[in-house]
Amino acid sequence: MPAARTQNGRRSRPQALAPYTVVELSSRIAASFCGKFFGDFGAEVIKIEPRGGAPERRLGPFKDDRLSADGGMHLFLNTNKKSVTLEPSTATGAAIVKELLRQADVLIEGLPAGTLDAWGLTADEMERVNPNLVVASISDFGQSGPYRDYKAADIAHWAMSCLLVGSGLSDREPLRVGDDVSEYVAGLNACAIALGALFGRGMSGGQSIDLSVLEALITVQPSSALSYAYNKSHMPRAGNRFPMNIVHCKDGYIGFYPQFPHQWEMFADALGKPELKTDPRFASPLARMEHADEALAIILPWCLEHTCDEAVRIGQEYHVPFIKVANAKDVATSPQYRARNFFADIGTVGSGNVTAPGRPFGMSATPWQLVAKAPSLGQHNLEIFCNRLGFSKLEMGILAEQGVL
Amino acid sequence: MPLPLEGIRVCDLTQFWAGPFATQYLANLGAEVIKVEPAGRGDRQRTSAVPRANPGEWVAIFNGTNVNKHGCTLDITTAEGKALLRHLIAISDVVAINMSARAVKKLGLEYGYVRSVNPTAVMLSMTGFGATGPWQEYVGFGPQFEQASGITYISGYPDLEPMGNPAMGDPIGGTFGAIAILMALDHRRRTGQGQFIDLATTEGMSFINPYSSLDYTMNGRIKERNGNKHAVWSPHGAFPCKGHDEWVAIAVQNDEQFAALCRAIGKPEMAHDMRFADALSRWEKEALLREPISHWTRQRDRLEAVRLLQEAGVPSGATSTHATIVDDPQLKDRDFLWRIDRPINEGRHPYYGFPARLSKTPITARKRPPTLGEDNGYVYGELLSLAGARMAELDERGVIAKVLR
Repeated sequence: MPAARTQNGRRSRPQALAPYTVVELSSRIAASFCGKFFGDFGAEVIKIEPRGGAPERRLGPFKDDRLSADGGMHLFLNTNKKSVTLEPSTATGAAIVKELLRQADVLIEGLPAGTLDAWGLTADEMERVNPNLVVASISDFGQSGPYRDYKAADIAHWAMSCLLVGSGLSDREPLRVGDDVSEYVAGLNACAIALGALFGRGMSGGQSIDLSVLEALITVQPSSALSYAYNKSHMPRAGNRFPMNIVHCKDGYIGFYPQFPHQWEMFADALGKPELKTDPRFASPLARMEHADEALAIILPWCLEHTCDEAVRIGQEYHVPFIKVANAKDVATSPQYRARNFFADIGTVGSGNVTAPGRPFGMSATPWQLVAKAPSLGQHNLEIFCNRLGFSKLEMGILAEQGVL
Repeated sequence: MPLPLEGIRVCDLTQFWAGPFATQYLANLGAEVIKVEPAGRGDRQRTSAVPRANPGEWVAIFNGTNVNKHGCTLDITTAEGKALLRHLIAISDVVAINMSARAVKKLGLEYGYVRSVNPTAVMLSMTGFGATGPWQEYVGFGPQFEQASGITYISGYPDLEPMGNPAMGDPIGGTFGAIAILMALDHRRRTGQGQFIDLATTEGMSFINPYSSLDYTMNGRIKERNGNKHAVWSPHGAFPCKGHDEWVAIAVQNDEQFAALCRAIGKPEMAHDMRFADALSRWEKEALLREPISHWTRQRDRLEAVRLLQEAGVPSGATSTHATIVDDPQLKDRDFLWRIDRPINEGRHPYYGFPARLSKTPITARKRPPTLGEDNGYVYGELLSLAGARMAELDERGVIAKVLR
């Protein structure tokens, strides 16, 4: 069992993906996020960046808003990876990519559909070079279809997936939620599918995965097309629909959701408002929705009398879904996250301490490990091009001069 | 060609959405997923919609998340039921569970028990806040996990309370679950070692929302909600089209795309207006850009608007609804929707399919979602070798009853 070494040199636990080598052609958050899981659980991830660096190096946030080599998104997305610079758009660059693929298990790429073909890295050619290679391609709409070459962005995917018209209020502009959710969702899906394809490689050999960001985003909503087919209707967007509300407390917002009948009763007890249990206006889930405003008139004053922490403590004592709507500071200082070591310092010498989400989940035998912080641009050029592929330093100099690396 | 996870068996004790989403991923990739539902009641998701004939069989979110699985009913609170479950765990590779920590303890289904029955099992525990820590017994649904993760706080109109998407946390958490299980299976295949996966949906949602955490740790800033306004791009948002609640989302990322947008809406001179000369000035004066763009979009059908914008090279997308998404030409061309014939639902209906095309092992709907207890005969008769009379007796006494009570 290959065991990794952590930064301080201690021998550490086995890693689930230790035998694998992954080549990542950087291009978008989704591809880098997908590669992060492989690196974080022990695969060797060789991140190929254009000479100007992967796009996330420019995304920030930057300390004191001053452009630097240590933007937060780069530090987060590229933990446990190796960075090489290479321009696959040149013939020599494409040939070097092929050499790397010959020794790899997985290629992750998020370039616009058709780009690899244009570089001569066709599916047939890659299969010839390495029949065991799993190729995970992430593109906005997939590698085929009438919208293949459409230009998209997160909010466009929200629109096309149905999610946009479902979020916000019906008399206002519909809203997207979060930051670039579609990118992360696509990266997660590409990772799961690539892991599946790797697992089945013994039976099928390598294969290509053509993932569509739009399709991935569509699947994170309830089966709404099916629901429409059954009921021929759908609910207009209505923000936080009772009894699933977000309301003001003394010092912030809390969310509650007494969905089931027993939870409604506990909710009434938690608030010390037994009339919520006995009043016929609130006797059934449907009745409660119809009389939401009247119920809120009873509930809101109670919330305003309590701090978020008090409200959550009382609600949870009664086993009712109650939680603080956490802002960035609340998340960073969450006692739950602290107790579970969710955060890790992913900062480099240049950035200083950067506390960010570290392990995505706990694994008892092959836990997440921060073996290497995000690499500087081209940090591993010598290791990969000289040691691995056998170029001399002189050859590397010439290739650099020619704009290849 | 056999599917990647052919030969892997999953004992699936999950309910609602997040857990079943994780196991559907494995089922789609070829695993044999045995969905164990509470006898006489079923997965609680089955009864989450308005009752009609054949209650329990018309909930889109249930049906849409349980394709390709086998379904059986079992009362695991009885000694006989627990014994059958023990047998099922013994012949499975994966055990998945998403009950609250309290329920797990009450039923005696901790990892220690699973391991004692099957030492190499991979066990996924999915909870809102994790299997350890001060909040391990907190209750909540998807919305609460999103609210605690930080993603809800940054979403919504600036003048109102936060407004998240009340649904994404479950399927996104489920995808993390699929990834963790696949990693653990890979490790197990090489080492024979099983393990326990401790997945918290809240952590998953924080993990896909890194920017605001990074900006807080690097600059002490707390990100607030700001509608569809983007951190840097402008204009960015949804613009109203002809018709009721029809919109086009536009995301201009650079000067070139801004010039293209100005040409597309017949105002080429706007590209030379000094007020909008660069990204920062556009961002600051975005309100001034809304009217000329909306004026143009309001006169056009949403698909026509997108066609013109895409011709000009502007990242954009038209809103789909649950009614129109089945006609999307891109999704049709890629056969994204699965049309599944389920007799109890009287016909073929559209299900959201798999978000990627695999070149050698296409992922398809091999089995329609099970009616309550539909596969009891297979599970108890074939897998556990119970005699017919014994099964009838257990059914009679409610241990494996499939009738909704």
